[in-house]
Amino acid sequence: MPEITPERWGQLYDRAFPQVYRALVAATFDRERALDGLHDAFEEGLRHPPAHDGNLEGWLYRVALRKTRRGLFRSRREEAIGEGSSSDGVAAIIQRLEVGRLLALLTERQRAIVVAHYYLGLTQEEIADSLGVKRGTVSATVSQSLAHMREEGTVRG
Amino acid sequence: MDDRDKDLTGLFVRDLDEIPLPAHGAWRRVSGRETYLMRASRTLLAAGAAVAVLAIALLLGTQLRDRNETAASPSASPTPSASGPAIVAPSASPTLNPSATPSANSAPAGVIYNDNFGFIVEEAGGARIRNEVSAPVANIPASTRIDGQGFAVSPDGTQIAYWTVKTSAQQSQLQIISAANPQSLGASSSLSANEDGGVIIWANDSSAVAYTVITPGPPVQTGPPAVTSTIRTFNTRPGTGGPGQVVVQWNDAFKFIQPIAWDRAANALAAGVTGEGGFMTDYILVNTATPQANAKRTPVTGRVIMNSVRASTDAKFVVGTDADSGFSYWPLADYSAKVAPAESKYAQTGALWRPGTHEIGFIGPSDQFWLCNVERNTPLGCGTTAFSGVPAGAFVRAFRADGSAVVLAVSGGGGAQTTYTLVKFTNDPFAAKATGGERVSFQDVSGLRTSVRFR
Repeated sequence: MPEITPERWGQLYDRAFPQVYRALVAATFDRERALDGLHDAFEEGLRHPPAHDGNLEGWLYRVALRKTRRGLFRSRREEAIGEGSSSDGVAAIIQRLEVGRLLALLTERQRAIVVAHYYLGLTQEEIADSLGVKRGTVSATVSQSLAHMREEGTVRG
Repeated sequence: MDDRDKDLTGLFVRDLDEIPLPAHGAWRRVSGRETYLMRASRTLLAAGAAVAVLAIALLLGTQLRDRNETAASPSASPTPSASGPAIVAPSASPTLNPSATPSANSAPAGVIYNDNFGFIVEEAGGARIRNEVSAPVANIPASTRIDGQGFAVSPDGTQIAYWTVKTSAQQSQLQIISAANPQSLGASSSLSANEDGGVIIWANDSSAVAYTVITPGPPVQTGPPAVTSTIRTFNTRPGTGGPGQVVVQWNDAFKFIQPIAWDRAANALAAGVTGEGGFMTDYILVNTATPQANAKRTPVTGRVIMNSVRASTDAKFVVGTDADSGFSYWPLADYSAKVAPAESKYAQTGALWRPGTHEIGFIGPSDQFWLCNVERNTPLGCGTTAFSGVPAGAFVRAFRADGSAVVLAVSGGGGAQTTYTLVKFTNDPFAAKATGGERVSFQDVSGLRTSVRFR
């Protein structure tokens, strides 16, 4: 398998950026954290590129998400996000989207899993691998999230 | 992946793809740009410094208070000290605009009203045009029939078409005036003595109107007289005139035809057939390039309320409300492609097009105002909440002529004035959707009909 050169890495990153950035914003409700996480993931990829270029979105998402979680005040920020008052007002804005209102019902970890599943199109196994959790946790989280959404009435079925 | 998963995937892709991206130059870290951690650390340091200053101040204050209490003699009536803290007189109560309704989103009325726009208000014996700020601008001539759909405002909001009242001395006339200068008559078209004017609609380019003319046949010994209804078209440019061109004719003693929308560039004029029950029984599509020769008729099932059938300002889509199942929409040229969005059954009141868009506005459950973008309909629906806090009992009266605001109405009942709430939309660049923001309430008679544009 050919090695991913820095030039190739830049091309792959640019191609994946829009989708991963949006996924991170939806998971964190914070544009700054999403962008910083992706910057970190890009630099991580320059130093230690992934073994292959398959599922690059999943790799970037996992690394960026891990980076965003290292922030100071993490617990306070997650509390603030729950109240829809993150620093750049993105929570209030994103909740106006139909899907944003659904995501607001979930914890940040649940959002990260649900977004990976429904937006990035990762399989449960890929999500488990990407986020470092058991597959059963992913499955249960998706089910619980669906139940939350259905209780809210936006998801019918 | 089952169907439900596919629906949700579609929903996530539809919505999250609207999140705007940062400029391409910001996709990689710019040298010297602070990271989130750096900013957070700086915030932590600043917060720590503030706490330290506060702690020192408290400590000093406590020491000073202890010292003063030790030194001062007790007194039954303490004398204010000249060096004590200044007492600030209460400021004057904030003056509220008497017409403004306090609410979480209320703002100074002047910020919301826009004097480029106004309303047509129907009153006993005529109608008037007022601007949004409430000062009357002008009266439409007293002989005007502003009765239900007996008038129409052009898609750009600047022109008004209406019928004059038929008298023994004068036949009814279709007249065109400018909202900004209603005393100056534009084009006009007269009817014959035995004709009556009906519903008027504008072409989507505001250059012409189409209207119904009803002609009763001669009396017969038994049964109702035959009635012929026709749709005519008429160019509205100043200086034009004439009887108008007949594009379709409907012969039925119990039903008549009325125009719905006209896409002039596409030569497509849609009409509905209705009877005394007020439901649409047929949808007619006319090719105006070959009038009468090429009309397509589609029978309508259900109970679609004829007066609820309206077209988007560009005449590309039509919406109508079924008395039993909520609203549905369809492309102008194809009634059989009718779609009932998932949310339509939740619509509490009628549905109206937001001018300049393909969004249908309606009041949904939980006092929320929704906008349904028909171009983004999915099995899960087409709507998003634009704002909440819709007044109890409100219905959607009109959109501002440019779609930048919506007017909700709550009837006062018993002849009392109606309370209108004007809610301005904000085009949120992040959400890429219109959301309701500032609002203001005012009162007027219940005849406020629609919005016009002065310039």
